[in-house]
Amino acid sequence: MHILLSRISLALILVFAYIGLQAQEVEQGVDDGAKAIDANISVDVNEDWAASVEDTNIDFGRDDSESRARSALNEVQKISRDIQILKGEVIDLNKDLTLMEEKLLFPSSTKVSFFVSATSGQFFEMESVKLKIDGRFVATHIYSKKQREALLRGGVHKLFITNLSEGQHDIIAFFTGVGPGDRAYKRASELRLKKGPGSQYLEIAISDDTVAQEPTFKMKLW
Amino acid sequence: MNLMSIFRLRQFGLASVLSLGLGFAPVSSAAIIDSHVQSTAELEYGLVLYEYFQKRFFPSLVENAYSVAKENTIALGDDGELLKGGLMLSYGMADDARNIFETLLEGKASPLVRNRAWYFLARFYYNKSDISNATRALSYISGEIPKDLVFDYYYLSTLVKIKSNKALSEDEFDETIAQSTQYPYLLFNKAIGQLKVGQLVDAVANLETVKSYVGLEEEFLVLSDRAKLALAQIAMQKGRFDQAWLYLTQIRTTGLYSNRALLNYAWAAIKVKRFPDATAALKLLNRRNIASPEVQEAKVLLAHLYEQEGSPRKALKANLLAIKDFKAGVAMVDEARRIIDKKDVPAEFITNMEAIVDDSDWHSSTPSVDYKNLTPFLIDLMSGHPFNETLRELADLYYLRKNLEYWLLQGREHLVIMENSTKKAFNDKNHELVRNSVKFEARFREQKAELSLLNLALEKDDQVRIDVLLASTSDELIVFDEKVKLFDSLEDVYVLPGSYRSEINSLHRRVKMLLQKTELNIVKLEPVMRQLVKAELDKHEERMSYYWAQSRLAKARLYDTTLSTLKDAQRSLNSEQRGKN
Repeated sequence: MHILLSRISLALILVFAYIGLQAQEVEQGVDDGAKAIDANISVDVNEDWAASVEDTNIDFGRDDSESRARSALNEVQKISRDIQILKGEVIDLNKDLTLMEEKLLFPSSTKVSFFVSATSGQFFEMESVKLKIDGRFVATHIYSKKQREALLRGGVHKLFITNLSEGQHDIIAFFTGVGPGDRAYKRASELRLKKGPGSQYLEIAISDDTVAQEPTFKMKLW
Repeated sequence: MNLMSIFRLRQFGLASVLSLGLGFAPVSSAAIIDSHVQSTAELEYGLVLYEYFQKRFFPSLVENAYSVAKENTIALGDDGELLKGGLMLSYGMADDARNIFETLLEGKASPLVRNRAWYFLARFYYNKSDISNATRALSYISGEIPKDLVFDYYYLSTLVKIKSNKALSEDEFDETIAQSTQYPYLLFNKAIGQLKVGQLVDAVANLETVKSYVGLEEEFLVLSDRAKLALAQIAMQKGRFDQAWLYLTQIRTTGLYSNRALLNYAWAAIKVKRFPDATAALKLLNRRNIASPEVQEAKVLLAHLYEQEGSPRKALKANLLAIKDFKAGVAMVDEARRIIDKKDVPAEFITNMEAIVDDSDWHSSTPSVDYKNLTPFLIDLMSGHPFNETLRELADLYYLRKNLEYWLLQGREHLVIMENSTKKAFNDKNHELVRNSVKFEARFREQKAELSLLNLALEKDDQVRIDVLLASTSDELIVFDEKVKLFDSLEDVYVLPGSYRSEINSLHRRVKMLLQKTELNIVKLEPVMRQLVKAELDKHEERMSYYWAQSRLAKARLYDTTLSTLKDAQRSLNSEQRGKN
């Protein structure tokens, strides 16, 4: 009996040792898996086995998860109306707060807003703009791809709002980006602004000069 | 004026382009064009569009409300209302959006505006799964469809027809739409519609066409894979496993549909008796993240395949590895459950979601982002409507909370500005200063005149040097003169009206009240998200436990077979020895 047990144990050890070797083969095989897809490796297989294989999908916990999903959706729809009203109220409040903040910080007699617009963009891909008023840098903005696209589709960016007294002011805008021939491009545009009474808009417009094959930068007081 | 606007229909989950025809024209003439902006109204309204084109719906709606408050003519017109409705629809304010569209349709809007409004209404009903009303709204679209809306109109139309089981005709689409880069999506939808009404041959032909769209863009490669997978599934359903196998060989082994394709590939290969190919596909799947149902099934199937091909040792090893993996998988589910119970996880999950989806290829490698123990299990869930709705509403609520918290902080600054403003006064000291400045200004001017005369008596070279100095002094004197005149003309300084204080206080009370409302809705919605996540995790656990048990049974059976083989060998050995004795 002891001899039999020891023989079985020995046999099992050999089996496990062999399995160990096979395991390495399995792991190696994983690495070669993708390549082997197209290779025709001949393996001796029982060709009838597939007929007995159950290949239907089992939908684990589908009913339960569907009912939970339904109840969740009902719950969301119940809250949804409240959230819609809340969104409307917050939008309205933001508008009121913006108007109030403007009244506090920028009285209408001194307010000047600076906008950036872009028309076409064939010769210039804007990366950043810097604004200098009366010799002092007051604003800078780096444009993301999304922002550039938004500008080119007709959006207008509010770069800066400030208070300026009546009289003359020197405005300089510096632009950096990629110009014709994919070269780094730096340009500046200058305007001597005569600030009058009341709030004013200044548009910094970027457009293309298709004749000169280069971008143009202009400032316009509205 | 022609402003193009584009945003994706989040609900449709693909690159559907939707545009609104307002605004400013793209430029093509060969000349210098200073700006497309033609009026202050356009300049002001450009801010709404700037946010809108970046798909920042909340800031865009705020800018729109601001423009309306400023009586901007574009914002108050039909086009502005239409854009506002579209923005609201995208921002989940569907009921308000519907009211806007219905009001527009009741009025005397132009045919183009009416067509847009009907389209948006149809989209509203479709998102609410109200297919009959969506069909009705689409039927009112007649005559010219705005060019930028053509694709979206047809896309929505195919979706509605699929849902209502209506056949899609051969000439379903306008000829020009075939030139659109998004056309394959329409074809795919058409094929699905045809399948639903039993037009198999036409459906396969259309899917074959979609299959051939393999540009450089990932978006179309994914669509092509999807078409191939659909074709393979049709072929398998019809018992054409050889054909299915051919389709499946063309699907990329990485990407969105790779897991499902590899598993189907293995099954198809088994059916056409290409067992080594099935093994290879299953091996590839076997190394992927266990959170995927296909990977879980592959582990069991691979062991079974080894057993059937007569390799019990390989089968046993595969089962042992599968048992180990399923144990780890179930432990991962437990860990994921623990994570989702943490307080701030829903908010952080939503914040990180964009990064998670963008940076990770769940289908080919182990995710390397935060919540890696939670998110792989939620990939299927994230494509589901209830979870999507919950996430979207929660994301919006978190954004509102952040916005209101910002205003709460600003509130303190508003009061400081107000306090400082009331302290401002033009007192005697200031008046004295201005009077002195006037005197100084006059004295400086005289001194400058004297210096100019003295300068004339100097040598030519010295005169040039002094001229430069005098010129710069003169500039500074001009600035000084302007400021002195300005201050001299002032009777008093500008002080903010006292009524602002009560306005500020009232606004801040509103901020606090809305913040409370937002928190309340978050508290209501977070448990819904957790409930959905846990249901999904339960599903994963149930599936893995089932496969785990199967692997353990297979292991036991293989051990049993090995032992009985050894016993048989022992018995024959013993009988041989007894024979010899």
